Amino acid sequence: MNSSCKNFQALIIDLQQGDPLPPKDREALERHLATCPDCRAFQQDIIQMFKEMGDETLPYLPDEFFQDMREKILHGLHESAPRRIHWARHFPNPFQSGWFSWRKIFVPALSGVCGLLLGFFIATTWTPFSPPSKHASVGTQIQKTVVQKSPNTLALVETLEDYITIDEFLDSLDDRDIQALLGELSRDLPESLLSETENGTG
Amino acid sequence: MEDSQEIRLIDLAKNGDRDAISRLVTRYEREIFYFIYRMTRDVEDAKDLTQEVLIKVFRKLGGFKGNSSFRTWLYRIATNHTLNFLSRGPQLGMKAPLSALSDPSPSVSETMEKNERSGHVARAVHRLPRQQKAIVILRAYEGLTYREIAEVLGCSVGNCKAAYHNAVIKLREILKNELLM
Repeated sequence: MNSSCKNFQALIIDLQQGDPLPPKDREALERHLATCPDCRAFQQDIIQMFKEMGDETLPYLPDEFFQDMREKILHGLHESAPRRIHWARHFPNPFQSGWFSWRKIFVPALSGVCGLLLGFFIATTWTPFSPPSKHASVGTQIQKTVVQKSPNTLALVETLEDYITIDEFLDSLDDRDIQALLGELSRDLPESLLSETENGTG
Repeated sequence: MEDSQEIRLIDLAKNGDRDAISRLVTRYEREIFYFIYRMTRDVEDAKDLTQEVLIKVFRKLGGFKGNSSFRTWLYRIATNHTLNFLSRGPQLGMKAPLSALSDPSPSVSETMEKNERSGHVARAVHRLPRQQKAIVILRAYEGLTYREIAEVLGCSVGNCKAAYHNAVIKLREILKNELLM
């Protein structure tokens, strides 16, 4: 059996099936069958197989069966189809009706507005965290202590708020003010700051 | 294409005319029953499936546009319904012995021999994969053309032709392997 046998087998099947072959194909098939014993055997098998298919005996069913079936079909056709619950009728999808039918426009627009509002909210409430500097923390401590401990030094507090660092604040004071301040705060200021302040002032 | 009488019957059946439906059922019921029987090889299954198919056909009749013949459309619904049924689970098949159900013929011995021989081919067809089985039955038993089978199965004529040739070659192999040929 060679590669062309498969093509000839297809022609054999069509021929036995009763399909008319073009004269050219028929002649080529006859020439091939004269030289190929495999295809001749194939042809014999196909002839026998189709003959046996034609001889098939089918189950016998009486006319009453078909008459009964016809009545059942007509009855079945007039029976109502199985009821389906239309959930959509009871629970309409909000995205498929009314206002949301414009969702192609509204959904992107609404998303944009929400995004802008969220951005505005974050920008106005959130402050980035940064570690406080040593001087800033000391300054804060001084401010709190002054407010709590001595109403007489409120003027100094107001002055202190104008300065960024303790060095700038201290530079703005004369010796008398420093001594007065140290006298007021010596019990609450950290030791390190006191020594630093004393060193700074000489 | 169907004759003018059939077209008229189809139009009447679309409007729910019971007489037209009954006449169309009468025209095709046996053909569809035997097609389904060949697919399932079970008389009881074939009875139930035929009834289901014909009810489905007339319920869907409003959707029949006449692009293909009514017979081809009928076979499409019957083939799909039966293939769905077969795909649901393993079918025993060949449950009812053919000799027990066959119509009595003049010569008992001749009938038995015929039954036995055709039964071998029928069993071999039943062992083909479902799609190949459908093609063989539609072409070799029901006599549909390749174009009609292509419409029934929704494939191209060329693919349909190649699938049929392969199925017949495979059928021969099955029969050879069982030394039945």
